[in-house]
Order: sequence, then structure tokens, then C-alpha cells
Amino acid sequence: MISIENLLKKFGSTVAVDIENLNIPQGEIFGLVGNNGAGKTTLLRLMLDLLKPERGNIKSKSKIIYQSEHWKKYTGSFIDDNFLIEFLKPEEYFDFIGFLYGMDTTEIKKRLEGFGTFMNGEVFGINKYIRNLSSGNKQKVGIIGAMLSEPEVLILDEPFNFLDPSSQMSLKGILKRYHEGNTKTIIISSHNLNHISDLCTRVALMEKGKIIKDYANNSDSMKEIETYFNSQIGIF
Amino acid sequence: MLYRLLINTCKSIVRNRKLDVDFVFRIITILSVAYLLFLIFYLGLNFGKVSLTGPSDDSVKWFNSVLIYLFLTGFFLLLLFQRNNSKDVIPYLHLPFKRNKIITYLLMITSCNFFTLGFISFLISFSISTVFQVYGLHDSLLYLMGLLLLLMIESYLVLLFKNLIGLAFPVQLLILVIASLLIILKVVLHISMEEISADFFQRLLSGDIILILFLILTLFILLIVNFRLLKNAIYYNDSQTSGVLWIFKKTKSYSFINEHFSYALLEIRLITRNKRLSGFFIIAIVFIFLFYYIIQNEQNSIYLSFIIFIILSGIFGYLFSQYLFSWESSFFDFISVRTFSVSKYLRAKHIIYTSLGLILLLFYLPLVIQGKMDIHLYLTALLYNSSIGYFIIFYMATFNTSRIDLGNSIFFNMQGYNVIQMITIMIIIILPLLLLLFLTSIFSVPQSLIIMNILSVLILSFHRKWYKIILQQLYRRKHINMEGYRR
Repeated sequence: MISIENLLKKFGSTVAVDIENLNIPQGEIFGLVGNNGAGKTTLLRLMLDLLKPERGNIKSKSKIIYQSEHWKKYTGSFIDDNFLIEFLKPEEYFDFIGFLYGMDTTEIKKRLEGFGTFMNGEVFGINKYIRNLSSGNKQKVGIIGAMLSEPEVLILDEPFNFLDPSSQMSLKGILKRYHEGNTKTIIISSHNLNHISDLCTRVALMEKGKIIKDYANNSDSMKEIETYFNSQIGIF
Repeated sequence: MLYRLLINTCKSIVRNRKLDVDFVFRIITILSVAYLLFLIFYLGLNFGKVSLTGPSDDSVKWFNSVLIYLFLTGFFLLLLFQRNNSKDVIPYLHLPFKRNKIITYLLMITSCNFFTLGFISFLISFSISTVFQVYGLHDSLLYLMGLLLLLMIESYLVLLFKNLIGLAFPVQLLILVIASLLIILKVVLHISMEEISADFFQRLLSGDIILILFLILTLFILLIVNFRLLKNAIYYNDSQTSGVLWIFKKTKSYSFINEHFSYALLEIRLITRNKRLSGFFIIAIVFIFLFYYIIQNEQNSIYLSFIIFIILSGIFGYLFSQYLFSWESSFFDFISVRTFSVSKYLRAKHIIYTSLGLILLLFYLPLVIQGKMDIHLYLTALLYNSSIGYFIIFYMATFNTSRIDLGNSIFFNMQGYNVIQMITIMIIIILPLLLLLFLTSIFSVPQSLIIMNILSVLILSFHRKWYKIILQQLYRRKHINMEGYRR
């Protein structure tokens, strides 16, 4: 589904991402973990053609992403507030996304019903622009916006940030349901190991732009990742 | 049966889905339409005063001499902007309505349009204040009847052209040929359209029954031809998209509006809901009033007037387009990762700025009527901005790499500003002035303006090419710009 070859991205002299080879097949929930500055967000940005790499390719469905725009039709993503149109109300934002993907109002409404519990009555009908919502609610709008077109590939950066515990649990349920049937590919970065371990079928550990470990998710691999993070602060 | 169909049409106007979008938008639309109708009614009532002739034979004669231009403007406006009513009959094709009834209904609603409504508003007030007083009831009624017949003929002529365009797209060229012929008659052969118009309508006023009968016959023929064309055209074409009328599918204007409406709405919301852009809007309004004062009180040379009109007709475009993409910096990532059509977004902006330039003309209408503002000069400036000016600004805006925080105030705020924008605007203003200076050194002023108009239309006809160049440049610089937008 998504393959990375010989990818290098630098900011000045600092190497942000340096990955020789990475393949993410269809139907996988791929988790990215790592400390701050490890290069997780940069990697996601590169996957969305928001940054230009110094060298290397990222392919989606065997086509290089910065040579065509085919991937936009089946890729949903939310990384930060720059993915929101903040002067719109949430309803208007979803309508606009629906319009971009050729959905009519009834279809948009129907799809949004699936996010009722997640929104918890705090997003719709409150007559506020997105810019005036709390960080948590902005995060919800962004995630729903990413999932609204039911994309084959979903890319989320730190989706659990700013969310209250109930919303985090709700989001986890939504993502699990979304993955049912193993047709959708989900790529998530997170600092929260519990969520990653609950959700992902595969976990990659990043450090200084490199993927230093790439595990199938099981109890042993999660222990190993925990040990890695403990070793970073001197706890054994 | 027909009555029910007409009632449904009234309901569809009142319950127009597009007006549901925003309460403010609905109020603004209603007020604008009401203001426009009032302005037209007021103009008719005071036509004697504004034409400086008083309610006299002269004012009617003057009106008659310009009627030809009004009808020509109406023809082209209807041809370009009148919605295709074929869509309204789609739901009835399922129902046990006779096809002839549906077509009769279509023909009835075709003659109801804003141009006709505006014209009738004017005619009523103009007749009460002037025509009845000067020519008496009998002749005035015949005159009014003739004008109403002409209005209907115009509507059905437009429908005929639209139907023919639906059948064969090159018919559009015929319209260009007609327009060119009229220009040649006026400019090259120096045939006075005003005299032809005055003679024709004076014959109506003098109760020429033969002329009235001729108009009735023309209307009848047009109705028959349109009826037959519609009868053959209105059917479901199941092999294509079910539920879409063949004739409706052929007409591209609706889908064009539909595709661009959401982008236009995004632009309107961007302007109205963000402090920095609203500030620019207020500045534009201040300039508009300032220029009104200058034009009203100063007798400017044609060249100075031209500069003023270039700035005026493009004021919204200049103010907003120079920061293009920097305005969008806060959601440029959204634009980049979605199936967002930048080309349609730019087109929507282009249409909005040009429309605002046209709407501005309504505000300046009193000055036009008083003869203090040359409408041809203004339209030349507007056409230049629309065909050349905005494309240059759009292209140069691809070099904007600064982020603009939309919530900040406009005053003492240089965020997003760069020298290139200023130089671009200077060039855009000076370029047509130099061209006009050059042309007027060889030709007369009207001829020079027409040459400029033809050049503008020619350049505008390659709009797809210009958009393609702009987009290529934007995609080339995308990553560089985005780094700037994130700072």
C-alpha cells in the first residue's frame, strides 16, 4: 500500500528522517512511537507530500506521491490545526469536505451519526467557529474530517492528544471498528504506549529519524519498547 | 395543472436552498435585490430629472434612442446568466403531466427573469411620470405593449439560442458574429444605432399597428420554434445519467455554478469572518466613497479617469489577491492533502472580484446617468482587470511565502507584506495606461477602447492556459511556500 525507499529529509544539517526501506501493507494499523524530535511527524508529513525529501521516494499504491495526486482521493489525514479551516463552523467544515469528495448532505449526515458519542454534543449545534473550540474539540473535528470520506488510508498524528479519557476510549473504539474487515490502512503516531499497544498490528520505534525497531504487536514487543523508553531516562 | 406548476416555482424561489446557507447571506441577497429594484423604479420616476430634460418629449426621445443598448445588454446578460429552467420540470416527468403542459409551463417561466422584472419596474414608473403625461393614454399603452412584446421576444430569442447551443456547441460563435457585426456597424461604418432605435420606438409611440402586429407574429414564431425544440429535447436519457434532462446536461452553466459555489462561499467566509480581511474590505469601501467624491466633483482627463477606474473596478481583487495563498496559509495543509481544486478556488475568487467590480457600477449609476462617469471607460478597465490584471496578481502571489494570522488587526501590521506585491500592482495599473496612450495617439478614444476590449476578450479566452501556468508555478513552489506558512 505504502512503501518508502531510501528516504532522507534534513532541516539544515539535522537529519529529521532517514529510512532505507519501509513497507506498510493494506489492512495494517501501523503505530509510530518515539521521543520528541524522533521524526514521527516529519515522516507523516513526508507521506502526505507536505515536505520535500532530499532524496528517496514514497509510493502509495505503487505511484510516487509527489508525481501525482491520485492518493488524495483515498487518503484521510489529520496532523495539526493547519488541517482545519478555522473560520468555518464544524458543520460547514464537514459539508465542505463532503463537497470535495462528492457526498451529498444526506450522506454526510449519515456518516456523522457514527461519531455521535465521540462528539459528545460539544461539536455540533453550538454555533461556534472551529477557532473558538477547545483544543480537544478541534482535535475531534480534525479526526472526524479525516475519516469522513471513509478513506482507504488514514494518517493521524497524536490523535489522543487533548482528548479527555472518555473521548480517548471512544476514539479507540471508532478506529477499531474502522479497521474491521482489514481493508483500511491506519497509520498513527503517539506517545501513549497503551493506546498503541491496544490498537496497532505493527509498531515501529523511531530515534533520530531512523526506524530502529519494527515489531509485530505482541506482549514481548511492547515490553521491549517499554524497556527502551525506560533506558532513555536511566530506569532499568 | 399549470397553476400548480407555477405555484411550485414560486415556492422554489422563496425556499431556494442556496439562501439557506447563511442567514446573513440571505438578508444581504434580499436587501440587494430590493435595493436594485427600488433604484430602477426610482430611476424611472425621476428619469426626466436625471436626463436633465424634465418630464418631456425630449426625455422619451432620449430614452428611445438608448433602448437598443438596453435590449442588447439584456440579451447578452440573459444568454450568459439566466438559469436553465429545464431542471424545474425534472420532477414532473415522472408524474401524469402532459408533455405539452410541461413545455407550456417552461415557456411561461422563461419570460420571468430579473432583467424583465427590472425593465418592467422602470417602465411602470417611467410611464406614470413621463410617457402618459406627454403622449396620452392610447399611444402610451401601445408603446408599453410594444416594449413588453419586445421583452418577451428577447427572452424567447435567448431560449432559442440556448436550445441551439445545446444541439450544436458552435452556435456560440454565431453570437460572437452578431456582436462583432454590431461593433462594425457602429465603429467602422458609423451607423447611428441611436437614430435607428429612436425611429423604431417613435413608430410604436405613434401607434403603428403594423409594427405591433409584426412583433406579435415574431413572438408567435419564436414560441412555436422553441416549443418544437423543447418537445424533442425534453426526455430522460437513461444511457447517460438517469434523472438528468438531455438539454440540461448539455448546458454547462449550472454545473459550473454548482462546482464553484462552495469555493466561492469559502472565499466569502474567509473575507467576512476574519479580522484582517474584513479590515481590507473596510478600506475598499472607504476608497469607493473617496473616488465617488472625486469623480463627482472633479473634471478629470480621460487618462486620469482610466487610472481611477482601473483601481476602482479592481479594488477588491487587488486588495485580496495580492496576499493570495498567504491568506490560506493557516489551512494550506488542508488544501494540499485534500482533493481541493485550487483552479476552481481561483476561478471562484476571479468571479467574485469581477462581480464586485460590476456591482460597484450600480453604486456609481447616478454618476453615469449624470454624465460624470464614462461607462465604457469603466467597463474597459473592469475587463482589463478581469482578463489580465488578476492573472498577473494570481501568478505573482505564488511567490508569497509568509504566513498571515487571520485574526490580527490590519493596522500597523506588515505581516505577509512584500515589495513584489507593491511592484506588481504598480505594473498592473501602469500597463493599460501606456497602452491607452499609445492607442489614442493613433485612433480616436472610442476606437482605442474597443481595441483594448477586443485584446482583453482575446486574452480572457485563453483563461484555461493562464490558470494552468499559475497552477504549475504554485505546485513547483509548493514545498518552499509551505515552509514559510508554518513559521
